[in-house]
Amino acid sequence: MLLDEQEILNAVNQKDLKAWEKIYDFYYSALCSYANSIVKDFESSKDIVQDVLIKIWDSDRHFGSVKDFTWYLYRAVYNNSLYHLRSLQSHQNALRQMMIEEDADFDEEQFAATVQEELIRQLYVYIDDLPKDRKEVILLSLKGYSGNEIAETLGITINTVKKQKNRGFKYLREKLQDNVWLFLI
Amino acid sequence: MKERFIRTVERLKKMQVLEEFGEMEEVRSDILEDKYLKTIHKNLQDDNFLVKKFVEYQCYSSSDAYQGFVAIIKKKRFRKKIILLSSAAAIFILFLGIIWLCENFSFHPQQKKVMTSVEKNVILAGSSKAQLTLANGEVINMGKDSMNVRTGEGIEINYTGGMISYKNTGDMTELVYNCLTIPIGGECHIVLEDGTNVWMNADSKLTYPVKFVGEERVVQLEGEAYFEVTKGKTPFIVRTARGKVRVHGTSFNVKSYAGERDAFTTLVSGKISYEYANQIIELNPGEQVIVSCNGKLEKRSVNTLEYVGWKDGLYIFKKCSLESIMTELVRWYDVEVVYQDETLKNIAFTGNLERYDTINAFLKILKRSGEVNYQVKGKTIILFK
Repeated sequence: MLLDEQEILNAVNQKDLKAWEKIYDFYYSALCSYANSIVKDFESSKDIVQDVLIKIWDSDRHFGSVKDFTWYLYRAVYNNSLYHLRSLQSHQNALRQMMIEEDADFDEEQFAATVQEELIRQLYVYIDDLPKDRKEVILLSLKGYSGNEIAETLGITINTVKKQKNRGFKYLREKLQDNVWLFLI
Repeated sequence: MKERFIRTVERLKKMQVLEEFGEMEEVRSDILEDKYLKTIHKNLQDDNFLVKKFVEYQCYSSSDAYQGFVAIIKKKRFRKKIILLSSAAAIFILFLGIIWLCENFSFHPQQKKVMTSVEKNVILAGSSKAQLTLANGEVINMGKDSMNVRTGEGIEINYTGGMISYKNTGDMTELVYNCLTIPIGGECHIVLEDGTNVWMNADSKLTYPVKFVGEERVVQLEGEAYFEVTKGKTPFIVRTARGKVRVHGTSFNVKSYAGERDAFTTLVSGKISYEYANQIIELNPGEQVIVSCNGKLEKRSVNTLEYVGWKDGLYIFKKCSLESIMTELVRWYDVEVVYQDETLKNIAFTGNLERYDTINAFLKILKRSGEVNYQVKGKTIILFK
């Protein structure tokens, strides 16, 4: 999954429909989770994120770097989530426009929430890169399997499960560091 | 703000591996003094916290969303073309009209045509359809016609009247898995080796051993199925992406579609226990357990017919939102739904619907309610006020 920044940027700017699949892979789930933390509604979160991505596709906006794009996504999802809440309150269909004021400040708490979402998003992207044995253990635990069940399914001891899981997460964290160049800086 | 965001993300990333190096004390103290940022660092170091977040991420299917995106973009491109084409066509027709006017000096009064209202675009219900994948990877498609298949191991698979059953599995000593996939607009009834009956609903998948060997009978389900488990010496277990059901001889319905927020397991008779992420809930007949996207389990009493009626050919909706009803019907009738007005989604309906009737019968009833109007175009249903 070695994608360089240029590739993502080209996909965004040049509206390459096929390459946009990667953008969904990289951003969609995290943005939905981010929207959900604001609107507290599963289905609406999905609609908000889909809307934002379609509006970006329709717009002529050019992004100078992936970090610009990433920042824009969070801002747009945040703003649209607020519009959604407001439209619920006033029972009117709010203008679902992307009125993004890029310099408007988040409050400290929202700022931190955004930083956290972005970091988890980057960790999540690297699950695919995990070495096979660690990946298996982590994917099973994401499916809700308990330590014992994972041990049973894979035919390994519970201690190995714990070790692999631990090493898996450590690997993801280290990956963040290795790939500093990839998304930001 | 943007610069600060980028800088903060970067510094926290560095801190994740810092534990080993002990460098950059300043970066650390700076971040660790901030009450919000401090929490982020702690959360990122907490495996359980990450598992919880990742589980939530998995509830949002990026591939489904991407497909939706592609469909919308293509529709838009198509519309643009149509507008261009139709304006060209309009000019052409106008041109023809002028010629016609010039050639015919007198007008003839047009005869009024009596419009007969014929119901066009009838959408039929789903039917028995399945795809069976054998252990060797061979795929068998099942539809209307009965068939008999004999596999290399001497096992006989029979398919008649929408029902699959196995014969000659007697001498097997190890687990050999087959996989039954039901497409959108399909259903299938299968009898497993131990006599357990499973009715599979549309867009679902069941993986099961041809013969149950060992101390547990385990099958894996994605989607929806109704089980009538034969009592046996070993416990019967249904695994889903969100937890497992442990049973001893009983009837129940499991509904666990990947793209939906909640998964439902409804017990009709007997006793089952539901296990997920170290939580266990026991169910009595008439009770249901709901697993929501955030991994929480919730138990409640329900009218089981509302949840298992589909198996006997009846959908029962009680104060269900139009959106949730349509989600169900989309799977069975293999159609697409377009809401011209988002508020329609929340209108609640109560009523019964024959599963094998056309979808048009249901749409007519909807229209009669006075709140919803519809139009059928090919396989797309457009709902408006």
